[in-house]
Amino acid sequence: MAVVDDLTHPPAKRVRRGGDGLIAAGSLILLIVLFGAVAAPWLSQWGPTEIDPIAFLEPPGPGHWLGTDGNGMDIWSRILFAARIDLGVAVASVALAVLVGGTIGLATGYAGGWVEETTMRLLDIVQAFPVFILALTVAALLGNSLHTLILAIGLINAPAYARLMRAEVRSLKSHIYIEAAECAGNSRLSILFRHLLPNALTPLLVIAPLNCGWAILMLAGLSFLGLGVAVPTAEWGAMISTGAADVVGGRWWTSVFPGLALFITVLGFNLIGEGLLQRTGQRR
Amino acid sequence: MRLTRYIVRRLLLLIPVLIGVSVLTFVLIRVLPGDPVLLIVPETATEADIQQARERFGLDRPLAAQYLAYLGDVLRGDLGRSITTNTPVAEQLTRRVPLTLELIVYAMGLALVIAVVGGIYAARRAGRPSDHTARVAALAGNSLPEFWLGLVLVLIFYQALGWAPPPAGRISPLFSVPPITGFITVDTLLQGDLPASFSALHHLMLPVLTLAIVITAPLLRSVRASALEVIDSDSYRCAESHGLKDRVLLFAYLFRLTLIRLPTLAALVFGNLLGGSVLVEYVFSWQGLGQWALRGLLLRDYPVIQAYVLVVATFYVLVFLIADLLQAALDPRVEV
Amino acid sequence: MTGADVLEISDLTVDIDGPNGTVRALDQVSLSVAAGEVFGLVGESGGGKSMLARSIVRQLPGRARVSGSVQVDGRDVFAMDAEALRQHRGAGAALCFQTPRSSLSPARTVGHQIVDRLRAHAGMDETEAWKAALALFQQVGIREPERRLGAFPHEMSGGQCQRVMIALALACGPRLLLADEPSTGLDVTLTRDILALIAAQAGKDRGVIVISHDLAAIAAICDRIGVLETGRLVEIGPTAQLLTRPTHPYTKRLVAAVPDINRVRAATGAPAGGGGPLLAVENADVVYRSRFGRQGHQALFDVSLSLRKGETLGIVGESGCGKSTLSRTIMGLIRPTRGRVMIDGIDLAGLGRSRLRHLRNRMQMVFQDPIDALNPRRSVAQIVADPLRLIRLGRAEQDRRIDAILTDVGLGPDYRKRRPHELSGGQAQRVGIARALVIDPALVVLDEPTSALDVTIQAQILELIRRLTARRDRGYLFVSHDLAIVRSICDRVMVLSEGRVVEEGPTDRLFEAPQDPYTRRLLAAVPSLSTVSERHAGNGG
Repeated sequence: MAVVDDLTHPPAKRVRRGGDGLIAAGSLILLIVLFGAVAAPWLSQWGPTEIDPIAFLEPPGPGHWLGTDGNGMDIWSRILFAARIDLGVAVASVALAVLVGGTIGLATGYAGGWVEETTMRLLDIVQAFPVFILALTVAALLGNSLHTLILAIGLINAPAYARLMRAEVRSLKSHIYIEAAECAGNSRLSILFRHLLPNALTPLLVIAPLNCGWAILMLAGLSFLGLGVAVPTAEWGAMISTGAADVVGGRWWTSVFPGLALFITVLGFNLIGEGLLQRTGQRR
Repeated sequence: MRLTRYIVRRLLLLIPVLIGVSVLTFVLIRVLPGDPVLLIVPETATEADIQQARERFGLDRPLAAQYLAYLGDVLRGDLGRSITTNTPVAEQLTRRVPLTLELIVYAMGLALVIAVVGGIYAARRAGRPSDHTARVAALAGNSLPEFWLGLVLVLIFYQALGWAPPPAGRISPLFSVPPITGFITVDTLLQGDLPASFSALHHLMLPVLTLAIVITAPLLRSVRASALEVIDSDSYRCAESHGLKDRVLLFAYLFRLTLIRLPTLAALVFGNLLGGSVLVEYVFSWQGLGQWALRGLLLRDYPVIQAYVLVVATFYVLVFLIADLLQAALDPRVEV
Repeated sequence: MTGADVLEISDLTVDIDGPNGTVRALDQVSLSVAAGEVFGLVGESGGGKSMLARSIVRQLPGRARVSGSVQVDGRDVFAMDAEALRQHRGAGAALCFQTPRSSLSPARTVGHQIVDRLRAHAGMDETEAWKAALALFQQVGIREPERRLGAFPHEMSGGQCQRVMIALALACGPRLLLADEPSTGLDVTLTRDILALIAAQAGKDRGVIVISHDLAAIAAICDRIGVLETGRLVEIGPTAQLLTRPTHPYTKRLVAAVPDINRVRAATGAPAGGGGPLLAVENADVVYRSRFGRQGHQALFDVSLSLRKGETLGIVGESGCGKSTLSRTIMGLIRPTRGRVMIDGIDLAGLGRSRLRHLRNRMQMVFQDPIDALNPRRSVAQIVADPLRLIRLGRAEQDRRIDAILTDVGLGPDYRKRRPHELSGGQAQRVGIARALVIDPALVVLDEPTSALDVTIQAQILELIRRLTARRDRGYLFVSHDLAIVRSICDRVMVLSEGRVVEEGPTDRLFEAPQDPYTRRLLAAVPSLSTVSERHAGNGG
């Protein structure tokens, strides 16, 4: 728009980029899963670890909607209760990763020099480490509980956030408004927290949903190998693992349904993540 | 030679990473609860027997001394003996590595072809139905747990349709293939045993498909995004506005520029595949590196875990080196 | 001199559907260009210049709706099938893209890029095409053409890339050559050469269109000029007539806004004398150290200057001459490798971080890129208040000051809550000026404050700066590449070239009797509307 007089120029409108549909679809999925998790006791007549002594490996039917597993536990009920653990661990571990990784990235990116070099080399080492070994050792070190799983998955993810934050801070440092802030007489701390951090945080938060999906897959994978949540606690990966042997025998429902729940939940996170990326113009 | 110097410099950089990784592994697994010696000695063992076993593996010495001894052995090419099976680790490693590599190399190759062709195709039809289909498929593929996908594929192709062999082993037990390279598809071909070759491929089908489906998703999205960026760039638009022939435009102005950013991501995917192959190996009873490491970890078999981490880390760094060289070859702006 | 029409546009209207509704990018544009003619298309950003160029090669965004017709060589561009369109693109009309460095394909040698075009349009085989490519490189004035054929775009300078871009377009053998903003990012002397090269391509089979925001730069080479304002072609006519007797109000404003080097500054009274210098730079060297302690790049050599209160000193030079390094050194953002920078007699080098910070209420800076200089997440009031934290005012006093300074720069308190993305470039620069002035500094460094703005906006910001400098209550350092602007604002001028001071003196003396040959060359290359219109009138055009 050619401006005749810059003082009568109307406020520019924010450019919309789409992605709203994806975010809405993802949110809907996650709301349903969340509702299932919260309302689990009311949505199912069986408890998550309650054993029906007369129904082992029963196919889906009126008594047990999605059937029972080899222990006689109701799969529908277990899927609902598992959502609590899977959602909780995912969100908590990603929050931890953002916090730890973000802080490291912010500090090293702003400091620069040898501090930055050293930290990045250390992160290289951590990232060259096979993920499962790292998760398992952390979990085994601190005892096999939900808290340690959160810690393990969070710490594995932290280097990625540290790198992202550092890259973001470095690119922001080249913006003139950072130089302008220095000229305006801001102290280093003030530049860091008033001018760099608020602008650098957005990309980290944008990829957080994608990461939540990844964290759930990680948790489920660990449990699948018997290294995560201990049986008989209801967790999707552990449920798939329990049912894996039955699949070859044709009893598909024991692992197919928990897997579906896992897939749909991760898809929900990924839809939101993709939508956010589109909306912020990082992907079309 | 600048290239040689660059490669040597990068390989030298490998040393601190490997030392860091080995120290970290060494310390981490030794502070783990659980004592490997207790797992191997008979239940009737006395305190003295246990002490003796400990000395045999050098586990009675201080941690630093143990590490230096280990480092010295590794430099001489000796990766130690497994505590649980008492066989040389290096020997087990040479048997296991080809199994896993065969799996992930085929999966990677398949995924790359699908991703490049599909990604460029989708980008050239951005916004149309075929593009949307590709994007939804990529999103779904990215959300699939590979161990569950493997089970579902077994359910469909083995259980229901009977097209695939049972998920156990890498070749039908009717064939016996003496290992030459360790890569079974190569070995059967070298021996000219076509039916065995076919059987090996048949057994590879489902695990490779599982891995390929999961890793195609991020690669496809990346290729599509790069291709879109090129198509929207002034340099491509300029070439188009000068009326170049479609083939020239596609190969010289779109294809190569799209591929510039692929090596780095592919290296990341490939590296993670080696460290994360255990899930699919577990589902298909594939006796590869991942299963070996998992067992080593559960039994606290220190030399096995150390060797595994070292191999994976080396592989990781080498793959990234190759990726950087490829990128430099594709992009004249990148200096090596 | 001119032949048959190559281009005939009638009633061309282009609507673009976007998320915020439909935008009319071009509105009933009609024009024609004949063979042998150089036609100039002028307008500010968003005027529709590039959209017009892209319509001619039918390369519009996906959601564009077109009515009217574009005919090249008598053939309707919008009625062509795919193969005819491919032929037309290049052989019919070939476009030289803006910013050639990023418009050349980065991973293909420029030689291959030319050969691709020659083979597509001239039907040559490989060997013939390479020979022809070499000849084209010679024609567009590329030095060492054989070697350059094997180069990649990133290995060439901006001027070289522009020549390659012209060669690429010529390789298609076009009936109509379109050059979109060919002078972007080029220095004055280079601009003149490139424009002359483009104008020389008009011939008995070929018409040329030059698109630019810079009326002064292209006026010298154009036979006729059309003026675009928000998609409408408001005026079209022979160059001399358009410059001397513009009829449409927008054209009038555009012509008036062009800084003219022959326009002498109105007298504003002498600077207030007395007291020591406000700013003194003594024998400053600045060396950018490269990593690994290798020989760095020296940006400034032995630069000295002084500035008193009430005085405005201009610093001019071409890109890369060290202007920006100098202003950053004065602001204490870069430390000189040798020499001193003194504010009020205090040596900046001797100050710790905290002392330097508190000295910032004596000196402030206005930046070149007005939008990027504002933190996108903060409101105008927060941005302007930023320096005030140095002096801790009460809430009410702070608000009063912000309102007062916003009013002073022509914005007013209504703008307090706006965010940077809701501002136009001119408004953003006013906010930048308000931020610099709110703490009432003694020294203000203006680093190319208008070079990112459209010409009519530039005129308004310059008016504001003139008003401020005329108060004679501060020292101003005005850094610019534009000699005409410097002449209209500064008391004294210093010319920088390759990091050294070439000449310094009172503005009028320097412009009327330049001593140094470099200054003379620089002055000679500056386009001026008044001389251009005289020359066109003299030619009987």
